Amino acid sequence: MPDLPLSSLEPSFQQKYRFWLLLFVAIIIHQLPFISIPFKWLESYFHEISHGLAAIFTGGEIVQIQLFPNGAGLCTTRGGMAFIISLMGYAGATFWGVVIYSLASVHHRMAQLFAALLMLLIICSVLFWVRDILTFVIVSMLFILFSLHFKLKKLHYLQLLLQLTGLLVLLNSVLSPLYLIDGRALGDGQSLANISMIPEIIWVIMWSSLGVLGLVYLAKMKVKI
Amino acid sequence: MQISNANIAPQATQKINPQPSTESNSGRLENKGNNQQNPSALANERNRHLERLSADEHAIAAVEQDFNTRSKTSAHSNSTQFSSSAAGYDLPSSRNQGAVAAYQSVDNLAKRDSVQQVFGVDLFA
Repeated sequence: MPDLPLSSLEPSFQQKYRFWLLLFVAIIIHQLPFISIPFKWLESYFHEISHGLAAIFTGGEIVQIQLFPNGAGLCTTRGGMAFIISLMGYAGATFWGVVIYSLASVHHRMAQLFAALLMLLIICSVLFWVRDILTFVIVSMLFILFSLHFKLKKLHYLQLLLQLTGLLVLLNSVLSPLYLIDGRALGDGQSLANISMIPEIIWVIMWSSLGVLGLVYLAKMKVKI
Repeated sequence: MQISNANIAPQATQKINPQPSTESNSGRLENKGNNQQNPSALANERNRHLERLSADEHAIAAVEQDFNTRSKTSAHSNSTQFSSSAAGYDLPSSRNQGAVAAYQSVDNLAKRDSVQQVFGVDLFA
């Protein structure tokens, strides 16, 4: 564990239960009215970019990515495999949450490098796929959010903040699929239901369960360390 | 046109009563005196009558204009009805019209597919 002093063999309380403390803080932040908004945008961004990357990896392309102030998003693609692209929205957000937390936990320098890579991804998104002012403003604010990570003088805090960001993305990816249970035949769940003939609710349960599994994985990973 | 009875009443009284009494003379004098004292009031009253009259003329003009417009519109619709009824025998039957519509819808479907292939995009929310 990177933040353990070399002389100490026993981890402190904060180090031992860091995951649960950060998860508690993430739950609190998720409930706050204004503070939680940028993190919802972040989860929405990772959701849409996952759709887009899935389109690229299956032979398609991203036409446009749109984000909205209420945390909604829209990814317009051309070509690619519709099933994979639909599936990877919520699954991708879970993947991003786990990766952000895991890489931030490896080492301070790794956290710094990963934050730089995320900023590069955001810049690429703005250059290639953002075509409206509102999305530009939201993505710019996400860029500033990650830039603030870099402004931190101690790498230890950068690591903590990235871990918290990863947990917030993961928490949103657990809860976001539940919004699909609204009686309307809309969204990724319905798209998958149309393609696969498997009901939307099954996909919703699967996505939320995947997010919970991600949290369990991170909790166990923490115990191992 | 509105007419006020208040201005006509004294004159009528004078005509009906050729031998006026003292009281009536004094009344006339008073009335005359009033007329001499308030010429501006009389002028105002006359102007007010004229204004009322002119406003009514405007209203009448507006009504006439509206009537003319309506009559022109009805004449136009009558002529349209006449022309459509005159050309009605030349139209295809309703059965044939249905067939043409079905044919065109298939054609539009093919066009829509081709447009979707060219510009086809998928939206993921």
